[in-house]
Amino acid sequence: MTATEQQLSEGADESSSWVKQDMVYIKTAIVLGVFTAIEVFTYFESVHKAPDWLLVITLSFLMVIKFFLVTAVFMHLRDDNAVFTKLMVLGLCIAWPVYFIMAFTFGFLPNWNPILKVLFLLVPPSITGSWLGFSFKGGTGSHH
Amino acid sequence: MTDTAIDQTSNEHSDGDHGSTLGVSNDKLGMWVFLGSDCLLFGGLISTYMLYKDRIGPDDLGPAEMFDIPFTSVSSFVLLMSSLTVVLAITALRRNDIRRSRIWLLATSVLGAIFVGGQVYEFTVFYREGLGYTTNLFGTSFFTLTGFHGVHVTVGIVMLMSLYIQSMRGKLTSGQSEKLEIIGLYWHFVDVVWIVIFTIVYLFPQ
Repeated sequence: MTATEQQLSEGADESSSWVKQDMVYIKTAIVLGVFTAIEVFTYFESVHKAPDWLLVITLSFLMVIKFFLVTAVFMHLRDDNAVFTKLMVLGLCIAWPVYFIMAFTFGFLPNWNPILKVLFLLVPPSITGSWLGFSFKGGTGSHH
Repeated sequence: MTDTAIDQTSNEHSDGDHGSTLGVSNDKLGMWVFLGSDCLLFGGLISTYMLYKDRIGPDDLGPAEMFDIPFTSVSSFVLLMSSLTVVLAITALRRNDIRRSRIWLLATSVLGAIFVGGQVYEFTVFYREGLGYTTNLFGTSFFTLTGFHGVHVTVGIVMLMSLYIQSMRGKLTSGQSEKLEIIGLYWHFVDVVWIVIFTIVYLFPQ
């Protein structure tokens, strides 16, 4: 292969990699658009008659997926240092019980059995927090 | 700190290399820290809205009567698509396609302006229908939350337009794509916050 041919080939590879990256963004935007359409669909009369708890769970689920798609793909959290993801997850672990205690206290959620409430408040952040605890490797402690 | 370490630090500063040990520049790290603090601000505003949304007078209009979901859905879609245009502007700039990066930058600003315009229209309609900032606690918490978000979008548009002007003057090249990346982070954050506000404020059963 001549030098010119090699340069052309490298240029084509680079161009193809940019196209691939743009396509990932476009596909993500399409998924986000579809999820938004599903969310709006729940507003219409026939679907809106569904029980409130079902609507809240469905909408929350879609909201969380959209949130993570934007942060992971558009904000490049999946490519940045893992410590950013861990810090975000740590914040969410703390926010989970705080927000849901508020939601139960002010009656935004049904008045479940107290044991069920405690499990709901503590189990998801405990599991995620344990994963975080194991994932932090720690340094050598040699600061000097 | 040893002499070698001091030398290394002074060399890094003299070279203008401001990288952090996390693999991102200090500028970018600063933006992440700011966005973290902004999460707390919006977390507080959303909680306040949730607490006060039912505090309306017997003759006042509530969220169920006021919100125009189809209209807000279109605004939300516009803001969501502006996240796409900003990443396309970043990749175009990285591959030194300045012309396309300018087009995407301008498109992002226009989409942001459409969103803010929609919000101003919505606020005007609410005001005409009798919901002012001090009418009731629902009005106060709603206007504070969505108004703060609108101000964030407006600041984002100003920053994007300043980058557009820099690009027109030839001061935004592929070597400086991080500038756009940092503003892009801010823009995506504004989008992420709207994803949460749109679901909790507008779509959750009232």
